[in-house]
Amino acid sequence: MKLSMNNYKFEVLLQNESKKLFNYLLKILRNKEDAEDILQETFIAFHKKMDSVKETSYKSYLFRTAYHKALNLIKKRNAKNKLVTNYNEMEHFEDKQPKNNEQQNELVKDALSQLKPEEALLMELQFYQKMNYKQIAETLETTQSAVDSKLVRAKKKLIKIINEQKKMQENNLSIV
Amino acid sequence: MKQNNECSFEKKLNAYIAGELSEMEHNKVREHISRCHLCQNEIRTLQQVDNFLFQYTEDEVPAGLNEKILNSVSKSHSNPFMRKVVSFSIAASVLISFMAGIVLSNGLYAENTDSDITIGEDSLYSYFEGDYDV
Repeated sequence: MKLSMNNYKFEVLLQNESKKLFNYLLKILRNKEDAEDILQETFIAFHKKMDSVKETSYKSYLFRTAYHKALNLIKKRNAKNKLVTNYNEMEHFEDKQPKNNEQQNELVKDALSQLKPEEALLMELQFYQKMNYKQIAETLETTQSAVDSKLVRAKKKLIKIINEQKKMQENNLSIV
Repeated sequence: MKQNNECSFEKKLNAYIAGELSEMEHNKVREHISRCHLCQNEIRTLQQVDNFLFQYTEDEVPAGLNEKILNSVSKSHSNPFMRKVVSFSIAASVLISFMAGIVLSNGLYAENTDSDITIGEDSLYSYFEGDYDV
């Protein structure tokens, strides 16, 4: 009985949260296949631990798990990418100049991926998941005042990144 | 000099925008902002981030991914109780077979050794006693 109830809750949670988690992973990983893999791993890990997680903390648990799994992947990827030159990355980026919504999404992804993963998660939880400081503190297992000061720091960084993006866009336009 | 570039309320502005301050503090900050140009500029800058982040349009989860997740979950963890029952049954049957093997082999060994000694003793005894027909 408990088992089928859990399965039902799991299905509901999967339907409600997978899109949000998938988009969060897309923003920080910037790769669809990686986001799919981590999303799958996250839900499987959650299902294993579901009995020991409070129902009110399901969402926090999912985001925390996704964050740690994504972080591991980023570390692995960074270790591999040390051999790749920046020149190649620039070329690759220029080849995939997106447009409209896709272009805006790419700018946001680009900016968020320049933050530390924890800062990107903070942004995600506040802006896209509409969590308050208390909920964010619970998700990141920290205090509300730490959440506030980290958010301010992350926002200041983002402002710098946005301004740099604007400059780059202006330069590109003047070249064209 | 410091007063010209910084304001003691600056640290509260993010919490103010996020609606995280108590009503009393919120009103206090709001009143301050109305007469502080530094804070007004800072608020505008912070709101730039909000506007930038809200440009993002969410992507859909790829078709079939949720079903794929459900399938992998049901394959590996759908019935932990039954998995425990099966594991226990296997372990129990191996243990029973092992125990039965020991009991049976002991029984057979005892049976075989008894009869051999008896036959052997009888045979030798008969041989030395001269009852043994060659």
